[in-house]
Amino acid sequence: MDLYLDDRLLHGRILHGWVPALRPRRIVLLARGLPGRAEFASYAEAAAEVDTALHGCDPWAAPPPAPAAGDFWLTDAPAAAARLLAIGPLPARLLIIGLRDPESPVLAADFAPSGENRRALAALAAQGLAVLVQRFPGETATPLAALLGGRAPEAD
Amino acid sequence: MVPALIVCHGRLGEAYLEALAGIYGDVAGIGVLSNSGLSAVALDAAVAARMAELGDTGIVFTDYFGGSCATACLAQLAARPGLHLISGVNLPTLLYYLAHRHELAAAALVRGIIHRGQNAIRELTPPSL
Repeated sequence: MDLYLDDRLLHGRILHGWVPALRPRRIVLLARGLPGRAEFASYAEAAAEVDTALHGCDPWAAPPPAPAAGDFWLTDAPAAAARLLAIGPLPARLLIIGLRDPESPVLAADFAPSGENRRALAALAAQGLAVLVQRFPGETATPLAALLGGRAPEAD
Repeated sequence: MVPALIVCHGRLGEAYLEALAGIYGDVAGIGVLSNSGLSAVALDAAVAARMAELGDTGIVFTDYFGGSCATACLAQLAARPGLHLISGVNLPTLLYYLAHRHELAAAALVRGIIHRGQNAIRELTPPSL
């Protein structure tokens, strides 16, 4: 399965852009503290409004569910992708919908990773995970390497 | 695809398109017309021209019934039986339109738009906030 990343986690672009395009049966949210965080109830309500089930998981606290056909896996940080590479299930690709770290260079629209995140993403790519940036379903995905310019990410 | 036109006061239509582009991405096929600076006659002419551009079928979104935008659009409907006019446009109505404009015919699209738009107006209380 593909793993999507947006630092805003479940929000409009996911609910009204990606969900109508991919029509998943289930959204699997991977983030620290889920499903116990206060906002999870509103995430579930929002997902129900677009006729999609929601499963929340903190992959550091509990094993992720087994992937199923019709899943849309979404996380808010590169660390969750690294966690999946360590414990499974293995994603085929990491697709970055938005990563908007404050005071960070803008490498593409809605892609402004901090130095720490640039290094984390480069490390994922080095482990063989295809990492791409794609804001909307209709856009062409851009490989991370093209946005990093082929240079190793510098320290902050 | 069912085309659409937004006819609103001020820059509301442009602002909706900007917001939609950030949420949905592809907003091609949605026209925008503002009544700013237009006399009643000029607005009628502009609305007539833009509604004619929609062709045989389409949806016109306007801000509120009774305003000059809605009134000008209403005046054109008799001559354009394939067009549908919806007042009270809000972001959820436009998002629903974008998500379904390729798969639904205009009449079904209108029903869904109204349902989604009306249901979007509610008081939020914890833990939904």
